[in-house]
Amino acid sequence: MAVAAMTAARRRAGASAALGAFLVSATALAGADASATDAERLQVETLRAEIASQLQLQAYDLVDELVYGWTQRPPFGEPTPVLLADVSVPVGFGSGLQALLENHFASVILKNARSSVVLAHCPMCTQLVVHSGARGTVVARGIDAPETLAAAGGLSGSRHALFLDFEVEGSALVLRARITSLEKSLPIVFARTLSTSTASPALLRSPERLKSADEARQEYLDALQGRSPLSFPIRLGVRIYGRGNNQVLAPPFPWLSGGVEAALTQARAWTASFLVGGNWMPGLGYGLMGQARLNRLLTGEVASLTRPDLYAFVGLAVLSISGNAALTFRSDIPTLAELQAAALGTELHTAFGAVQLGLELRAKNRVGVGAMVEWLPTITGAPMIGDYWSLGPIHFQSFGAEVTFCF
Amino acid sequence: MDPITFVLVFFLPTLAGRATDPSPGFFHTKEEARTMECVRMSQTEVHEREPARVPEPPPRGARTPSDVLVCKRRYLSPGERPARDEGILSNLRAEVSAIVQAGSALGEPSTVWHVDAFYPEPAVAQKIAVAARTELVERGKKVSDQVPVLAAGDLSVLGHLLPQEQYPLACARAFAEGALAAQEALLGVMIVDAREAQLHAGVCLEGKWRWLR
Amino acid sequence: MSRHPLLAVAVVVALLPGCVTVYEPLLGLQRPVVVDMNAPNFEGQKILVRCLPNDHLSPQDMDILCSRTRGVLANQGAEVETSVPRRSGSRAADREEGAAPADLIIELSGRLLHEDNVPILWILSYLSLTLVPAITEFTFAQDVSIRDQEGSLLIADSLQGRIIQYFGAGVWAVNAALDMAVRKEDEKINEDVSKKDLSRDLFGQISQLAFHAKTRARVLRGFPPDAKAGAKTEPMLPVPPVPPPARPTPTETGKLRD
Repeated sequence: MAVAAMTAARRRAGASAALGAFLVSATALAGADASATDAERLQVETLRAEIASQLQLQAYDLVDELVYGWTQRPPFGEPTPVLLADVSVPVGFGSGLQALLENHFASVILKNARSSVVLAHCPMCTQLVVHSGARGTVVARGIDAPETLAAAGGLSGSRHALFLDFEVEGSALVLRARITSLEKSLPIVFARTLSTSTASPALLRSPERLKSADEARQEYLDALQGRSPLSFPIRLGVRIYGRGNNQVLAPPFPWLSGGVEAALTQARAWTASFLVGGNWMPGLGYGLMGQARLNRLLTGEVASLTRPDLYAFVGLAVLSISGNAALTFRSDIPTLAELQAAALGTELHTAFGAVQLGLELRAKNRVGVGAMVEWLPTITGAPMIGDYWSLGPIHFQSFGAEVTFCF
Repeated sequence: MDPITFVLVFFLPTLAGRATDPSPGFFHTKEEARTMECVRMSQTEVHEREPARVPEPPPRGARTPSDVLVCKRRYLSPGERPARDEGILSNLRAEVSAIVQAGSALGEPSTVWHVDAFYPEPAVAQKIAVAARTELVERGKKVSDQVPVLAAGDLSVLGHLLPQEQYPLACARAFAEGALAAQEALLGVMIVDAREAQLHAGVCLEGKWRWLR
Repeated sequence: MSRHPLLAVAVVVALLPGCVTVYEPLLGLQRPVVVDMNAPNFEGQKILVRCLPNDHLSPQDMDILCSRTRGVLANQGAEVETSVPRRSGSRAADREEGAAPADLIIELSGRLLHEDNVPILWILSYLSLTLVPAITEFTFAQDVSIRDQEGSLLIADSLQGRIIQYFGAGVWAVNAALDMAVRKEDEKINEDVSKKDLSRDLFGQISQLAFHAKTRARVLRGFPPDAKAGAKTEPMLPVPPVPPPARPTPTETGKLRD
């Protein structure tokens, strides 16, 4: 089967015959009912809560969009009292969501007087009212019997009622808003349908400064395109070396480096950096370093504005260590002349190259934390330097952790 | 090379690369996959809509044109609502739009439209009626929030008839009783069989019932 | 065999099981189905099913599709004829002379929307002893159009799905472990389950669409009497049309209204 699978014929066979080959006969189809266990019910409840919270934000967006539309094209020529007659939530959702939406609508309307809609309170609108007269006895919801409500003084002077209907239609949340005039024939004087989808994140507009969805999107695009391709990272890191012979552990080497990082694409999927740095360890010496890295974004194709990005990198570094710390990296025994020179104050010195592999988590291209392993190809046989991890002929001898701040 | 290294270097990265794929497998269950609605679109089109999530396609001629699988998650998982209700509500806007487009061609510009929905679940019936009313108003029609009502006796008779007899008779009675005036039309939206998840519609105008779809 | 270790390895690799097939509904296939596919939904209906071959789907493939579709619809009480045109461009229904026209004509045709098969993955897979899985995927569309006996289009829809095949011992092992230890019965992923899921979805949607077409045809023809079922028919909806309870208006005669 495996050999046949690797022939070119599989390409066509897999594509073209799939539908027929994958269909089973009708008798083989069987449905099964599974009774939900307690754990499954709990899972469903948790999922419902998550859906409700996402739906709530999207519904707020729609309300914001509706009121924003009224500030641009008011439904009335002058401020007009309107009763909020009904807010109906999607089938299957409860009164909790209804209360949240009512409150949000009231909050947004109060902060946008330009909408010409003045919210009036009508507790009798949703209650049953009974009216007996010469024509008979009528039992109805208050809002459906406006004459009765007006006679009872329940309309609070308002002659219009607003209905907000939210419904989930597949992956879209749809708001249908209508304003009805409270006269006998109940004519609808305003209606609008707005929808959003799960693919669009909630805009979370401020109620005091509503803007249209197009304006919000343009701001977002400007933020994307306005990102400078260059940034200047400052990195604080530490390198730890593997235990050498006789379990001797070299001291950790801190490094402070700075340089420049450039985005190779607008999407910041590839970036490259060049940094120079140094360290100083009292009594042990000092070091200088130059390193270059190439970074590749792992979490998507475009660096995100709203969530951290994970990059993998490969790099090359050249390190120069001076002082007693240089002895850490020597594989040969110091000669008598070298020891004499050290005693007379002459500095020991060593330089070597390193190949780096690592990961860095970068938040909004401002702060990053990373970890890496280094291969020191020229450091072989140093008694104080052991291996952390071997990959065939490659021995990673150093493990580093770092924090980066970008400007 | 030790086995763990082998796995880390070769197997895990390939597996991790499938994390963003919505298909069921190691990272998504079948139920999660069924809550997604996915279509294939060109990368150019998707980049215009979502520049932060999809990079610009390569210059023409550099590579074969690529397409992107664009997925949207449904708000509700399969089984959250009854199948028929979910089928009707998922496609409500498109269905109502088609119905209103067909129905609004009838009548005069001065005709006042009433809408009523006939569906076993009252909550869903209300949604259908609201959708139709809103659509009619957005198309510039005069719409009333009122619903013409027949006498209880009429309703009990109508309840024993087949749909093909119910609606024409109800229309005639509403006109005769004055519940529907000459310049008024009633758009009725309903299902005619409990096994379907599509909407039918008809218009009652001047006492005559016309089926739209 | 021991003198040729590479050959031995190649044979072992060739004989290893290692295919995991995943089916993903994309558009339309995951819609809820209301009709019960074991009920006589099409009692007395004559249905012609035409499966149209093309460059990607041979007449033999469409024979299988038509045969399975016939089984599903016949199970629901329909008299089903199938037709798979052999000549390109042929769209005329293959019916016997004098035969009664079909009440519904269902046309099924498929399209390949996308295909992905990277050769380098196969090479890597072989070099890594199939630890790196080779991945083949394709996206298909099953177009369904249903017409009445006069040829008027009643329903047209496109059902889209995706099949992904992972080949590799590593993937197979991990998937098998997940199936055994973690996944519930209806969540398991293998070729048999994928076939069953796709069949259930596809035939469920075809049945639902056909039922929609049937009722739409009845409505548009003004509910003609069903001669095959006899003169007596029952109301299709058990609940009479009741107006919404919230909006009564007073009558001139003063009677109380519901």
